[in-house]
Amino acid sequence: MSRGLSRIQNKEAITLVALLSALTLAFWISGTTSALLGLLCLLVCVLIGLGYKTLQSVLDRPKEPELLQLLIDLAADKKLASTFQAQAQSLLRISEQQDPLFRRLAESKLRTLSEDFRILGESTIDFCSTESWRVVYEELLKTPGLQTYRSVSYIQSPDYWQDGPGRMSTELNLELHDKQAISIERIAVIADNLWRPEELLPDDSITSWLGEQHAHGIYIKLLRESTLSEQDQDLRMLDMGIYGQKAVGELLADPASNTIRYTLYFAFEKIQLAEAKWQRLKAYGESFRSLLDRQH
Amino acid sequence: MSRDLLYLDTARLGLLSERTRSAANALNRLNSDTGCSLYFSDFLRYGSDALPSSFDEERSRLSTWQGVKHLKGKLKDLAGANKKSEVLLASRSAVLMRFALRILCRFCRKILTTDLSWPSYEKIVVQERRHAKCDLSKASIREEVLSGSLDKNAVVHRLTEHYISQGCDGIFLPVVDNRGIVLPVREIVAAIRRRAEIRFVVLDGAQALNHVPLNLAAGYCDILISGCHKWVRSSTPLGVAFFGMPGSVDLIQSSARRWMSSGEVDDPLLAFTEELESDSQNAYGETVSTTPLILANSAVSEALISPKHPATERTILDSISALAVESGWLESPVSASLRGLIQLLRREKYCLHTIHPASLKRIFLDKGVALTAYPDGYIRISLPSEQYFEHHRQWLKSAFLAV
Repeated sequence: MSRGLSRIQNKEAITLVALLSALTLAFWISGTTSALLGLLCLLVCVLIGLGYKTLQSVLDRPKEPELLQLLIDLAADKKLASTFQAQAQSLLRISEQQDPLFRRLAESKLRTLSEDFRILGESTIDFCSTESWRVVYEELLKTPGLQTYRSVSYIQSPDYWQDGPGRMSTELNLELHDKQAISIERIAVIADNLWRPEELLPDDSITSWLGEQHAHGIYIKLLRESTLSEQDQDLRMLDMGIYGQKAVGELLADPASNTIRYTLYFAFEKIQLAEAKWQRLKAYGESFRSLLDRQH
Repeated sequence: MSRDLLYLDTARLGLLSERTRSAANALNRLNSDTGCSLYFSDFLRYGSDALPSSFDEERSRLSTWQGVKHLKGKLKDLAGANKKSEVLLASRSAVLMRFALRILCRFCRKILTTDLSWPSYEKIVVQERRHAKCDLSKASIREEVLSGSLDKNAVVHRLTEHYISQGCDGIFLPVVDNRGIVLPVREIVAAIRRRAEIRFVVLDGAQALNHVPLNLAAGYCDILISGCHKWVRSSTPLGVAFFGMPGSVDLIQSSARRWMSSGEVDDPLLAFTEELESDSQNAYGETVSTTPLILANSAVSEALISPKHPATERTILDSISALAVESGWLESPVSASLRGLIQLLRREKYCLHTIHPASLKRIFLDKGVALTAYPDGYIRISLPSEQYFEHHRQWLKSAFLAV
């Protein structure tokens, strides 16, 4: 927009300079010296004004080299460069469309897309209301070079990971730990209604799920949700996985353990934060094996 | 005991007792008469009573054999283990040790070891920890123990501090090392447990079973691997794994099942004894020598009937040491609180570093004494149950003086 406006203003200025130059030439030919001098002064003033304006516009555009640098940097990543090119072309086509309703709708959509871009730019990926995150989860666990997987399970239903996709994920955990592909540890934060204070172990289905993993050599710690102190309330409802130094996944589920949102963070700071949370939770937990020892 | 040999090398291989030798002879005869017939299968599965009356003599000599379950029961008694605990038997202790260390390395992040580990087992733990991506933290105590600078309490303190400061969560220790240092494992585990969590404990009991009191029922380790060919004196190797802590019994059993089925743990005797006990049969199973089972059964039965008298044996060992000292030898100054029935001795006047262990062994053998020699000039004497000393005093004295 502003560039178009500036283009129009430049045209007018050139027309004005051309008109003044033509008048000066006419007066010079007709021979009126005083009028010629006056016009020459006017022409010089207009030229100075135009020069000043041009200088100002150059000074007013400091971002252009930054943008240029950004384009050069982006060009190094061929896949992203072609995506960017396609998007830029679409934006250009949007800019050519002047219908106000379209522009309003497009701008709203673009704002949403910009937000998605911002999130992606923070190395974060969201999966909403779908179990499709388990495909990525599987891919992550099978990543060559991944050595450890630390998982925090927030269990508020006896059906936790008991459905088809959940069972498959459990099987994958067992298989990978068994093959020594990765070393898995788990902390289970259990809702109080599933682990009553008078009981040594949680609800049968949970104990059986944890026992199966323990029998495969996965080290497990347990804690009741209510044992978390006031200062550690941010650890409540935390369901996450730390995939070595590669990524952190956070799961938000409804009380029936259906996925509401699964967010995957690849930023190192997020991994560090998750590790700090892991250490705090670890301090609360008691190992599953020591509970079994106490059972007898 | 041979007529012309004073055998002081039980820590390497225990001699067969008369009763076990008689059982071995009967077994050989039974084997040669019945081959792999149903008679022999029934005998293995159900015990000597299953033999027909035509095998009366064998039945009598092999009367202690009542099947694998009974053998396991006797082994538990010998190790002071809980009746409900479990036992695995294998033809090689190393197979069971690899199995135990594999669990340890998968379940823990950092394992405490010492420089007292048997080198072959140390190799295994290094291999397993590499696969499982866990760390090892080795505490060096050997030289200080051998020089007498550390006693029992100091060892407990040193290893506890090491465990805590290094952030360990698993333990692999020998109960008795090959030079006879008895680690106070029970006290070490208890001291650590008071201050930190222990995820899993593996003990090497190769020199411990029927040598020092194990009292496994006290629940200080998750799995202890031992064998019957040293202090139990079955002469033929038979690996034994004891386990039964409620918190780890499922983990161990389930791992054994999975890894045996996948071939990760491969020992024909282990597979066969599990079949015998569960009354199942694998028609395509590997042919396996059952002699170690029968000999171990006989030796364990005898060990239970005639228990050891450590105080008496220690007295004999001390008198042998006194004789050695009189002959110009030095006793290893290991603290009495860390000693078992193995004694290390070293010649006082001569530098024995230059004598090859085989030559040193030969000098003693020429004088009628069998023992173990080490490259640094030490000799190791370890006693069988019987008291030979008074009859062989002159042999020993001339052997000590001959070096």
